Amino acid sequence: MKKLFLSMIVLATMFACTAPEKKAETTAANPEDTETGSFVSIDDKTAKFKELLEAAMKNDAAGYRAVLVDTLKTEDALADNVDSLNRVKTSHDGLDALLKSDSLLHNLYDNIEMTTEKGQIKTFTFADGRVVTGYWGIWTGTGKFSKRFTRVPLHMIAWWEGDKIVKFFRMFDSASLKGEIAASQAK
Amino acid sequence: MKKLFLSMIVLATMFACTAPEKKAETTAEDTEGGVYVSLDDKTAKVQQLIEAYMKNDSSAAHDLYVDTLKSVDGFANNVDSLNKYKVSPGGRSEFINADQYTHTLFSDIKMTLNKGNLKTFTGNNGQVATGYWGIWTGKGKYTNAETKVPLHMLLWWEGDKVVQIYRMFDPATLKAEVAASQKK
Repeated sequence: MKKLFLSMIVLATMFACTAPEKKAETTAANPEDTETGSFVSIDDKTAKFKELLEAAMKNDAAGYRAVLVDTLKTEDALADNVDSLNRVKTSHDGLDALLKSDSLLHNLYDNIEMTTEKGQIKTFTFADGRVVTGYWGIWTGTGKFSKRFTRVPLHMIAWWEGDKIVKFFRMFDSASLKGEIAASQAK
Repeated sequence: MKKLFLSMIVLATMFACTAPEKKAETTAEDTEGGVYVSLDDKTAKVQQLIEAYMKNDSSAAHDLYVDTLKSVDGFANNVDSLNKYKVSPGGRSEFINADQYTHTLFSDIKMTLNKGNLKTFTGNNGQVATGYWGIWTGKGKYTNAETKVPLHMLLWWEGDKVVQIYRMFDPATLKAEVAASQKK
């Protein structure tokens, strides 16, 4: 009787521990699918990305340097900024080039802000080890020359190597920015 | 001795079964987390939708979109005072009309469909969305200029239908083509 009881406990243990694993297997992707993974919004990389956005709002170069490598490549996904192989061209080669460009934004706009609401920043970990953080939010600022307040949807993706971002992809409608540059040159 | 052995098994069982559950709880707390794949039925349906759009065939769009489709274009200032995107009026029919209009402005419309351009995301909160990151190309019928435009889309599903679509691109060359078409 004791042996039977013991066997039942061992069986129950095996079942109890196997059931959740089976669920995970069901959720797992097709093994041929290399573009699969999981995403989170509460993790260290998402938090670091948020700090980077806050640094951008304050035009704080040290905040950029804390997260971005010196050899950072930034791709601005603007119309026709694409090569013959349909790859978005590198717009800013190196961190210094990005810092210079982002700093110029503060010469054009006052009160630059980016929304950082729940769910707007997520970090994706691919099954093959790639890690990227994505941002879907709204960039706002008041033009120093046009005096217009503008709200621009902004999508960004950052590729990580270890605890640093090595590549940036940015997508937005360039109309407001072009308008403000034109206004600055007209004065 | 047997009692001690039994107690050890029970303790080991509790420990073995508690550790993974704790990990699962941590993930479940993140309502904005989830998983994603690129080889599934929904990703395949969006690929078919894009292939049909390239041929100016709206049948896949009629099948896939609900008639109350909410479409949002992430253009500059297409955002309200609460930083919420404005929904374009007209539902599915107007959305399809706008897609067809691009074929009156451009010839040879293509969208890249490379590995990784499409993925379907399933959130811990139950939301399912398919995302596209690729390049839209076309040749302007009025400007004769070829344009390559990076394009991002998110399509939200309810069951096997798409209920909301979000598009993000720099519309500079589209606006230029519309302007050229109105001059002629």
